[in-house]
Amino acid sequence: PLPAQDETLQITPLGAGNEVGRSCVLLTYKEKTVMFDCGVHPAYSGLASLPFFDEMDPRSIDLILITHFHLDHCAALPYLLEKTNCNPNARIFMTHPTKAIYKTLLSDFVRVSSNEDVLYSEQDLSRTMKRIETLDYHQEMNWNGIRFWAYNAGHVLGAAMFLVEIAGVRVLYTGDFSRQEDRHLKEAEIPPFPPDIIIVESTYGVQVHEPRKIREARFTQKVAEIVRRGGRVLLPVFALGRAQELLLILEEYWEAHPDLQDIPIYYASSLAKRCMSVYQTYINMMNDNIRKRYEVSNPFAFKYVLNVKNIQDFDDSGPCVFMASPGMLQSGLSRELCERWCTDRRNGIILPGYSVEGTLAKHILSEPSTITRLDGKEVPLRCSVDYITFSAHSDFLQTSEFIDRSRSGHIVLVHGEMTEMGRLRNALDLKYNKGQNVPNIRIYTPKNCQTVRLTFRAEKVAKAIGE
Amino acid sequence: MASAIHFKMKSEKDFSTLSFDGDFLKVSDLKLLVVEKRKLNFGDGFDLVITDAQTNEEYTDESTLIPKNTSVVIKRVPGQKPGGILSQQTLARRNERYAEKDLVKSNAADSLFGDKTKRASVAGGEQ
Ligand SMILES: [Zn+2]
Ligand SMILES: [Zn+2]
Repeated sequence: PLPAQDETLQITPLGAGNEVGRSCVLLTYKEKTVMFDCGVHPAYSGLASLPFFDEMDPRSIDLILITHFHLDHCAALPYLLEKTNCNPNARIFMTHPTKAIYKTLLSDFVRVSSNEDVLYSEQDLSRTMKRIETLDYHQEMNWNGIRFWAYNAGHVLGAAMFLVEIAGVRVLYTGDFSRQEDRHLKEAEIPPFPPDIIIVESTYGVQVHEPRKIREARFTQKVAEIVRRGGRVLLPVFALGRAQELLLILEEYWEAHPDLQDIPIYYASSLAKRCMSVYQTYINMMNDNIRKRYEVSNPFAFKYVLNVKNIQDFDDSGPCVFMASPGMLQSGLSRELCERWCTDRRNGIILPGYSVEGTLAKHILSEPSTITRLDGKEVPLRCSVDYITFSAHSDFLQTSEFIDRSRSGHIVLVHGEMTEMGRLRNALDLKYNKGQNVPNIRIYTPKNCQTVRLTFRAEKVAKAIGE
Repeated sequence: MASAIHFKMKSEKDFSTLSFDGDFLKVSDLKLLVVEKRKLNFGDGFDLVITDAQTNEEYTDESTLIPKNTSVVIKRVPGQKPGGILSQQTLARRNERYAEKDLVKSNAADSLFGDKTKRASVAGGEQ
């Protein structure tokens, strides 16, 4: 006989199922419903960028857990809370720095949305702020029979993984995570309790990141090479997160190379400026390296980095390094500079992050001879284009080490393009399920709105009680 | 005289009204109108599943005629019905519309570096 509905644990991605973007994963078990993340899709806009909310009953949500401030993980939350029949008693949690930066980022998101694709108003956003509660890493929470904890996920300031326990069954949702310490963030933790199920990002599939030292050297040498040949360096970045890491790297390199010190590093982000106080407030959540430096001076007060407020402040007359958003050259300042500079051989674009299918950043990686400007005109792409990824996502080695050490029997892959995710599934399958003395781990790759169903028997509950 | 059909995306709170001429509206036309009304054109890879709000019956055939004054509930679902109206029409125009939209926005941007820089930080960044 089929198990009672009640005994079946269900995991359904409403977004980020075989794609990168609009992360939103539903967990239901024992009549409890938890939503992990609530983001928008970067390649779409308006309603079409939302997770597939029509697939669920928003009245049933008990708990919403937001992992970090990137828009693909949080920007659909005000819509869900204000425009749907979302349970008014549902509780919503994120870490303190995530909440602080979330507010600023989403106000900006509303402001730059055009009338036709705006999802909610500034008032909607303000109204929902009151409902968002904060939690600390490791703090044990309990709501309506759901126990949960947040753990440090690396990735960006305040990023969390969530471990949720319902009736003795534990599910870990990693969000975006990185097991590699960098200049300012700690590495992601391995949760102290082994989960029964891990829902894990698969952005980088089976790729292996090059060692940090080599990657940084390649980056700084490339930047130096371009400015020394008289060119301008464009670094398209998202305003917050990896941008701070890149600035720390550039600052250090400029300090060590006096011949570069006349060359300006521009950083155009009023957003980042507004969020800098959050970075300073939560320095205690970063790693030892940055905390030690903070005892002497503020490591985010840069000596060689100039903030650009408006076009008049920027004298485009010679070599420079310019960090501008958005990170995938969809439009905005980075796109404008790209169109302005791409025809000159001396200039160079360095893409330091992940590029989603359908964006110009992804396109120029295929080395086209021309690009189409936003005004429709086709211009030659003569500048150099390099891809040196600093995005703090887990690679194959990190993910499989994480799975080894977490000792989980079920892995659900999300947040990855279909081909990358498929490769990761095959590689994990080979590692865990082929051959002798392998642990036998089930691996699932649900598409959006497809449900993974798992049954946990009574002994699971008994085990949990016995602890 | 204009007729009306009442519709609601399943996750929305309330019904909205669509006006059209005639006594019936074809399911395929309703889909296109909803795409327009809800600005779903800036997306890809989805379809709309339409059900009668009273009977819960699904309109599976896109050529079905829906009588005026009907209330329908609409679900946005992944994938496209092969040969369906959304795969044929709306999405063929998608790229042109993207281009138009971006052009409008770049004209509207009042400063190159200020907060209003169009979509400055929107659309994801590094994920
Ligand atoms: Zn992400
Ligand atoms: Zn992220």
